Amino acid sequence: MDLPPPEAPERCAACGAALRPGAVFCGACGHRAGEPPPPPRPAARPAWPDIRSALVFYFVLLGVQVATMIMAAVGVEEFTLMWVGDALLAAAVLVGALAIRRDLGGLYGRAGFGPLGYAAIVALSYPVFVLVAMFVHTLSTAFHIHEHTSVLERGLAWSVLFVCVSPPIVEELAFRGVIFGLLRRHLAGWEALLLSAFAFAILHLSVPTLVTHLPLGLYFGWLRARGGSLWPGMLAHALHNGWVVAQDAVGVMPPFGW
Amino acid sequence: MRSLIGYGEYADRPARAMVRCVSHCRRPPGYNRPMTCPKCGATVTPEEAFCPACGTKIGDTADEVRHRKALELAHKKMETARKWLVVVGLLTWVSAVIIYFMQSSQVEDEIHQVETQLRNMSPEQRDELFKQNIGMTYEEALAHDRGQVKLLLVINIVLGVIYLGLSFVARKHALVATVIALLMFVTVIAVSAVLEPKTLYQGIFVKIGFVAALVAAVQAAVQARRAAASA
Repeated sequence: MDLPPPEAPERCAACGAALRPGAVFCGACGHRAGEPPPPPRPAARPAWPDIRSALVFYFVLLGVQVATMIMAAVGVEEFTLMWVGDALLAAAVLVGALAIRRDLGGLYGRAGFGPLGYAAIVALSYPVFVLVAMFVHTLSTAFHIHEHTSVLERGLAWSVLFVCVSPPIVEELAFRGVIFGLLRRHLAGWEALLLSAFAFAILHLSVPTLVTHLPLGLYFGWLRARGGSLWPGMLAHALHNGWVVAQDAVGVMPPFGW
Repeated sequence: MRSLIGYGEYADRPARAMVRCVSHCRRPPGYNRPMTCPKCGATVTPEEAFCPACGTKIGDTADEVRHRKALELAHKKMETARKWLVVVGLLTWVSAVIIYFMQSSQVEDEIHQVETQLRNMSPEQRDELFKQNIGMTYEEALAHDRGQVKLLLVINIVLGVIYLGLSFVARKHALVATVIALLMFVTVIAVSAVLEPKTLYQGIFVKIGFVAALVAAVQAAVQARRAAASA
């Protein structure tokens, strides 16, 4: 007498687990047997590689800053140091950004800001600069820090290039573009904003700016998150640094004895 | 009659198998689960998360178990990282005070030497000499040197405050706190090493241990989030 071949256990359509004979629901996932499987959920992008890339990117930039510091310590001339440091940083940011993100163009799209938004950025730039400058001045006086050297020694054109043009382009791409972008894929908005602002503040490697650049980083990062583009942050950054150069050249602080 | 049931004073308590085991008695997971569905009464095996007869949720699904394990691991790593944060914060304070006294006595010695060297000069001549060499008057140079020592003290105290503060923040926002601590700590090491190369080797085991604990905590926190997203 031939016995029928043992039947393979029925499998759940949703999760693939073996069903008990006679079961109406899958014991593993609760899916009703016989119903069509639910559409598959999109697989979550693994978070650790992205966050690790952001950390490595930060440490590469730190390496560039440290290399510039070492060059200064061994007595490289100040102007050479300025453009070599700037070029190294720009190269590192560009290579890192191209390696990590494939959609750099997307960072420079149209911002969700109208003319009124840009006008507000322009109007806000002066009070923001005054607050920052007042704080830096107070701290420098309290501890006799004389690290501020005039950026104007080589002429206005160079200082505009090194202070108002290159930092907004390079730093916005690095902190608001790459670091914020990588973190934002996996973290809550405020977390990505805070971390990118911290990275921006710490990487300036200067004590007074550690305090002032955290709120500045939050402001620029908020512009990036709100506008969805790097342009508003770049404008705010360039204007802020522009006021710094103007203060050096002609003095634009309000007349409160500064 | 009670004594016939067993230990009389416990006889009116709920069945022992329904009491959640809180001791480390190594019973398999699911031991305390009812073996019948509370809704329809069908028999359920310990591996099943849903009642096969009526679909009621009874236990944890595989995703939930994975999430719980990732969360437990993250908590463990985070606790280690938090202990390191406290230790590093306190060590920063201790070294801040030691460095302050060492540097200030060094600076005062140097000032004393310069004063003995220049004691034949008039204050104007002294200022002139200092202006030519370092662009500051004599008094400004003294204030600058002493200010630098005080500045380092304040920086180190503030760093200690930040590490201790982050150890509290880490209870609720583990990932953010550990990433900030990691960035700050590595940056401070790098900058100190450039300014004073011998600091790189000072407390090297504390530095390595702290960075390793922070990296492990960041990684575990990320994995716990990922598991939470898939569960």
